[in-house]
Amino acid sequence: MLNDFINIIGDIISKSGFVIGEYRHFIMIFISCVLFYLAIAKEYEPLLLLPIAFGMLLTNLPGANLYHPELFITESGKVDIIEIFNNGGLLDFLYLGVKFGVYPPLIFLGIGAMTDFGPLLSNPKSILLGAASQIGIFITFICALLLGFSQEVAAAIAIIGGADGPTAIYVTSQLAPKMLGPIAIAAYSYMALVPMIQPPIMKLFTTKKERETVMGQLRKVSKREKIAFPIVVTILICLFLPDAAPLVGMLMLGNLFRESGVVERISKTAENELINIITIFLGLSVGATATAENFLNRQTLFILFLGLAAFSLSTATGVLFGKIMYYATGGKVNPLIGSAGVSAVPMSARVSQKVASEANPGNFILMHAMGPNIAGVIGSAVAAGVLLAVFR
Amino acid sequence: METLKFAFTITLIGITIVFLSLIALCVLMSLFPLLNYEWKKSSDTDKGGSDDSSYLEIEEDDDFHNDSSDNSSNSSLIALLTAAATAYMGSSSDVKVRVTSFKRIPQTSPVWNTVGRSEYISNKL
Repeated sequence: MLNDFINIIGDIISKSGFVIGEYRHFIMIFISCVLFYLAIAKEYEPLLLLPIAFGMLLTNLPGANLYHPELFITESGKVDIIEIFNNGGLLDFLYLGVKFGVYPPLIFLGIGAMTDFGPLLSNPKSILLGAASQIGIFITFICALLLGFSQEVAAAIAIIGGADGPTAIYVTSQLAPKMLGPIAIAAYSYMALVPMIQPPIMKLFTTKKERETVMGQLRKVSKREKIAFPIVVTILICLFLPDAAPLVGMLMLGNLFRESGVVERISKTAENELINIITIFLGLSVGATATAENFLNRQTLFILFLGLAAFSLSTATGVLFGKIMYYATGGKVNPLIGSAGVSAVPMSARVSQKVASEANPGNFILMHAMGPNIAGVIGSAVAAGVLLAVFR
Repeated sequence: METLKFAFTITLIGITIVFLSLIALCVLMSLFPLLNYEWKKSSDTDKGGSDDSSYLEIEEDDDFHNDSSDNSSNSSLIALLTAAATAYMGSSSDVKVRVTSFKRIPQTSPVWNTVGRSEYISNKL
């Protein structure tokens, strides 16, 4: 009787996570706790960082076996759905949405329903700043290749420079699924750190006189223009670059819901319930991919470093293009709006406003900065389409 | 060396495609105001104006023409009425409001009320 009792207790203890866990698992649990702190106490992108951190915690609990990466990375390179249905766990099922590229476009649907493209339509030239900010992506791609990463992984790392979480996750899930955890965490961490990363770069490349530039009033955009915009963008971009269709198409569909004014219920669902549900699924499953084996290696450090470089370069190229526009227009464009060309909506536009108002307290460039900010979303989706077209 | 060459090729292609796509969008967006122009024209003739960017016309009243003894006072009043109507509708400068008639009504407020109100308005200016 006593022996049985001791045997059972011993068996339970031997199977517990405390015994079978390796030091790497406990390091990952510690890292997830750090992310909890950043999400809850510091409010760094909590909507995604919190579920990502929890997914990371769940997947690194020794013995829990909630996520099985081996089911997704097979020798043939194809996902065996039957095997997942037979042996998969909760996180495996949720991860299917990432693997098949379903969640990021649905997030874009919600973003489209929340976005007002009016500032961009009233100043179409500002879309060029959104294009200029994507240069950082490609410079980082060169750096990543030179550091020895494969082409696909280099492309996935470089897209962090677009400062667009769903785009980064989408590209990585298609090109380098093993790297999804570190890349997603780097992307969202740097997006949260926009107010700290961007201002020094903005000040470095601009003079006080340029930062003080006051921009004119934006024209009012009619409803007809706002309705035409998503349709025109979808036709043009998706015909030109079909690989960008899932992201751009969903973004524009969401925006058409909003602007048409005839499907208010659907629009509200897309921008509230749907995006919230998908955010939970996306965050959890992306966090689950950050297993100790995938995360704790030298490559992660390089990814974090290259991600920061990508983000900084994108900011710098945006500001420099803003300077070109400043001189080309005879000082009518404040170059600070160029930094908003990285997506990170609306944080980077707010940072542009903050730096501009430091130089000139009466200067309000927020709405002007929203133009390149929204253009950055389209620009990063196009850049993602280019990378997918080449490497997928 | 091959890697670098490949990386530069992809970079060049990528940047070119991103810029070409967004420049094409920029050109198309620059043409968008034409949509408003056509709409404005058609709404002028068809609907007589029921939206922001249309004319708002007030029916002509004979009193407007008859009561023209003080032209400068009328001009100020018309400007005031136009501004009030525009502000009330929360519209922007592209809205056209045309006052085609107005009618003076007899003074009914006690004189002390009128004086008090004008003093209050003066203090706010």
